[in-house]
Amino acid sequence: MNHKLLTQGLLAASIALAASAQAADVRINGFASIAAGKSFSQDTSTGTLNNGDKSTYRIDPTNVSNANSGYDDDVNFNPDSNYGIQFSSDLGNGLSVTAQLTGKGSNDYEAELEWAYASYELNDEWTVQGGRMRLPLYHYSDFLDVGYAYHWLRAPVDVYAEGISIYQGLALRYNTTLGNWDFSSSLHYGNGGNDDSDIGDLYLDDYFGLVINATYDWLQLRISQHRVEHYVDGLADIAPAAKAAQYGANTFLATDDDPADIIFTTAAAFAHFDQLFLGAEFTDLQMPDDEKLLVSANAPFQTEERQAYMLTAGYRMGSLTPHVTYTERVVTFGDSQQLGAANKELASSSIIVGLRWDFHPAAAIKFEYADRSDDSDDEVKTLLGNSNEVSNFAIGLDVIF
Amino acid sequence: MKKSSLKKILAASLAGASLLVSVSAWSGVAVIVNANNSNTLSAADVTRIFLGKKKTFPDGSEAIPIDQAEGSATRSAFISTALKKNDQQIKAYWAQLLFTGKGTPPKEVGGSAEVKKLVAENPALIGYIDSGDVDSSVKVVHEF
Repeated sequence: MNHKLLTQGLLAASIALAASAQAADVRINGFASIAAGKSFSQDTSTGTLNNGDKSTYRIDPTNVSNANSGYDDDVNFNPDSNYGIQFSSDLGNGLSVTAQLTGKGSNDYEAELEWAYASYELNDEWTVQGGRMRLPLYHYSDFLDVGYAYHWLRAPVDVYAEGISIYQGLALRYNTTLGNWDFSSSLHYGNGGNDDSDIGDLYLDDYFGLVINATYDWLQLRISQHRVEHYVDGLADIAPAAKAAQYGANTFLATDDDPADIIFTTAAAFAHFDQLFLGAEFTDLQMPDDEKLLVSANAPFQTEERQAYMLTAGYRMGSLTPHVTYTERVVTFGDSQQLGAANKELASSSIIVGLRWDFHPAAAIKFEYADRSDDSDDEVKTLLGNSNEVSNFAIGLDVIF
Repeated sequence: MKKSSLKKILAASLAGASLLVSVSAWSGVAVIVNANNSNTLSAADVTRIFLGKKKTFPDGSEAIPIDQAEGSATRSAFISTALKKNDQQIKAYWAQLLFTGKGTPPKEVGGSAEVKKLVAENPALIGYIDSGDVDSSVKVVHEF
């Protein structure tokens, strides 16, 4: 797969788009977040696999090798800071082109094309899009980078924790109304890859996604399902003996020649009243094949299934919005020699409290505290310690322009 | 000390909110279209057009919403009554759509006089103005 060539082509296209500003109106919009935070109450692991390691609060699961992808006990201005500039041009007759350049503190602010696609409105209800787009895995996935668009400083990290966020392919969108309900659905197909994910050089092939949104005045519902073949590059090269020693003799690793299916399903509901708003999002990941998803590039056990959910509530009082969120994440492992049994859990729960202050029409200041506990089974803690145990505080400024 | 300054901020924002309510209480907002536009629109139709969920009038012709400039009292009143959001919420709403390629906010064109002039000239446009500014050059399809 040649991501680089595609990216360069799209970049050239977006430059051409910018150059043709005279021919068609180019709309330029942007967003930026500047935030600082630090972790405390970190656990120093006594686990046999990561003895002495301090737990960190991982913010960006797509750039894990970068030291700024999470917070340790030093104040850090990078993990939650980002910027984005979007160029879009309506070429007329339903055709439009959009490119969004973003840079994240967790990736040294290197400009990357997060979105670059052409969009064609077939009619009032149907739109087809092609190019590089966000994987619409969760409710907040599409605008995860745009802090101004939601109440938190960042979407809850224990739910929004995928090691990949972009795919190249197609999207077919359908919007319609039925009585007092508005429906917006989308079908997605494509491929993706990220060489710095938490499980290594991850590839997604034949990704299919279906998202259905239904809105009725104060109520918004969303369900989605995603099916994909995945593999981690490099695993095929591990010699059988080394593989058996590291991952267990009966372990099947998903490789280029032998990829494994992932089925990911979500359901979310949001209710907006005058001042109060409530939200819930449930997610479920299943591995239907023998080949399992790795937990991390060097952990000797594999994910059988994973559930994560969040419940959130906020109360708008003029320009102030205090909010509270509870999240739980449970990863259930398959058979493992080192764990001694199947169905052992790596688990965590978090309480997040925060305040959004809309002090300006196009900017908000946010304060956020997160406290996470490690609820893993003892067999897992013996190997990994209380690796989830950590607290975090951050202050941020979100602007759009 | 901290508590009292928090109280002050609270009191100020509550005063601001009640001022907004009292302004919108005595001036209605009229949703207007071109005098030659024969469509009838429900409140829900107006809301959908201004939230980018619908791009056509009931007869199938193109509908282009236009906004008043940010900070206008008529705009705030329209957003709170027709769209049931406050100024910050509508901004966050459009940020969600804009940066995901799902829609662009309506063009902003100044105040009631500009909106009325543009709507009188173009049958595809739909706008809103202070009820007191309505005249025969445009047609009122809904009042909030």
